[in-house]
Amino acid sequence: MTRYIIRRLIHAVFIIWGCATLVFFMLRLIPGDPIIQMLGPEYTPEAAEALNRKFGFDEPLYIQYVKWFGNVMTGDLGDSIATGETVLGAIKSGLPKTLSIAAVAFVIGMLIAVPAGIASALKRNTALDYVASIISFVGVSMPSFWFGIILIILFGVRLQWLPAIGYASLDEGFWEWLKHLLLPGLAIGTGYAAILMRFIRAGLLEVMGSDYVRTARAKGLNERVVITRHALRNSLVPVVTVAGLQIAGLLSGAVITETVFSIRGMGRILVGAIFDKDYPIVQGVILLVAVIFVLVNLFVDILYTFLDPRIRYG
Amino acid sequence: MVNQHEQSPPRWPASTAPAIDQLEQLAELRRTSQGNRFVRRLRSERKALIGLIFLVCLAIVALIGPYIAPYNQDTDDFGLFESPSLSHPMGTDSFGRDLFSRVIVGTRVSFTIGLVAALASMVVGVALGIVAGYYGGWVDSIIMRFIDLLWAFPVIILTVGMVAVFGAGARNVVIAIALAYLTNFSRIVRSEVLSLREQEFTTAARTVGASDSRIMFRHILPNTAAPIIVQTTFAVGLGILAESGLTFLGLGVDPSTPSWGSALNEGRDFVRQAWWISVFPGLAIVFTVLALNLFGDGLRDALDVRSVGET
Repeated sequence: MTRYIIRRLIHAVFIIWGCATLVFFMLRLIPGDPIIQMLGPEYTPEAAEALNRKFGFDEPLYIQYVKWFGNVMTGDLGDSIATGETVLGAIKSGLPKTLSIAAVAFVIGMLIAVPAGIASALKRNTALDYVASIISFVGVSMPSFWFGIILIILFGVRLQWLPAIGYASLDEGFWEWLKHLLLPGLAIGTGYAAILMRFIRAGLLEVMGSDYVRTARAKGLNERVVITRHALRNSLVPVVTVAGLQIAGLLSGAVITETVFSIRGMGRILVGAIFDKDYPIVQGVILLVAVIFVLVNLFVDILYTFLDPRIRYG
Repeated sequence: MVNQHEQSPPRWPASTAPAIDQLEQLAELRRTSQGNRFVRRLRSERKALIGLIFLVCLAIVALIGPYIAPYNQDTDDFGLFESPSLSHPMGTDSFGRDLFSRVIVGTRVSFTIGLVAALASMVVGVALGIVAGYYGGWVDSIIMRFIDLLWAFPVIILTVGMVAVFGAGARNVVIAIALAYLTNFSRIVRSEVLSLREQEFTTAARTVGASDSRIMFRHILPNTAAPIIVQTTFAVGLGILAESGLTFLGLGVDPSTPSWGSALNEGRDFVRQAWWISVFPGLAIVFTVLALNLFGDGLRDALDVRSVGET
């Protein structure tokens, strides 16, 4: 068990190192002179000279790489070209918003998926099951940002129940915070729920046909105990994996959906930086998201081995 | 002399010819019955059929779109923000263009990008997966570490990052999407190849002296066709979603191109005045991806593919 975790940790470190290296070469891959690209109309030889020195482009590639890597390791991701603030500062302002959206989306997704999945498995091949299945197909096929726009039109503009755009931090009160996050959370959470629901349904159906469920029934347990105590618990093991892996999907969804709701989280910062050709920010944000993604995957894999003792080989 | 040439000798001794004929007939029979079984199963999958019918209609619209659109998609002499009416079923946009015509013509853009990206992703991903699975060892290690690395980036981040480096535009969007979804193909194909290369027909092919590339592409590849086809169907849908997302962010195809994503991008600024600009192009995306998912799902059941990555 410990050996498995250590092995996974080492693997994760290598993947993160690979990501960092890939991101380092991003700037060097830009066709033409990246400095000219970055400066755009503000190009002067002096400014170019200064930027060249700042990025260390005048040094050999391997020295640049070692220096950059050392900086990243110590948490120095450089400064934004457009605003002059540190990349870390920009991330610190954006990350809580993105994580808030993802968290609310996660809860909403769970609240929809678990009851819907269980219900459609237990009432298999009934009208309820078919309707749930159709809704889930539509949910998977729907771009979350489009659904976000629809929600804005409906709840923000027509009914005016919820704020259409913007973000309120937790300091302004929990309800204020939640009110601003309900629509973006719903926009992303629905797609998440659609995927999850299908896994919950399939998992439960598989377990319901197994021997120990038959035994439990044969013992004369009532159906509710059979389902909650015996079937559900085991059927949730694969669901946890999918739920975890899809958290990455939530984060990606947040990246686009922020634009819809004018919330300046990581996604909005990233897209803005691309338009400004603010490459230090682009590098920093992409690296951070990749690291989060790798860590989430690692966590899910380890959690999986805890939940299912049969998978403790590695 | 000449006559002798025309009467070429039979390929096999006369005595065995009927047996060979029979064998060939049997094989032919099995081929068609297998094909029939697949068609029968696909027919019994109602969702696959619904998906397929919609896809065929869509393909026709993509092909002849500009000829059936009621107006030219770039004509902008209608009123701005006209709400849906008989003359403009989907209303007009902020430039006074007929939205219905733009959605119809946009079918080609969105569909082509999704299709080309999925096919490119398939070709490269499958090739990498086969080579990795077949050779194993360090070749496998190098390829799979590369795949792991791509896997470490969420698709949208990967595509946004690529577009940031290489610039927006249809071609770069296709490359970015293809690269982002390549991992799915490689992983699926590699795991199939790992078991296929140990099977007897592979050993048999090797014994009669078939080259590695012949074994890989003539013997192993056809056996991985089913999961590849299913995955490609899903990939087209994912490609269309990715394209619309990128274009919506302003990082995709040129805003003047009539694509569904660019219409949504424009509609976002006018949700208060003109809901239709956002609603209809989005519906086009939903129905298209839905059709692809239904078809892919039905195909998966009909081809009896165990577990191809969920959509």
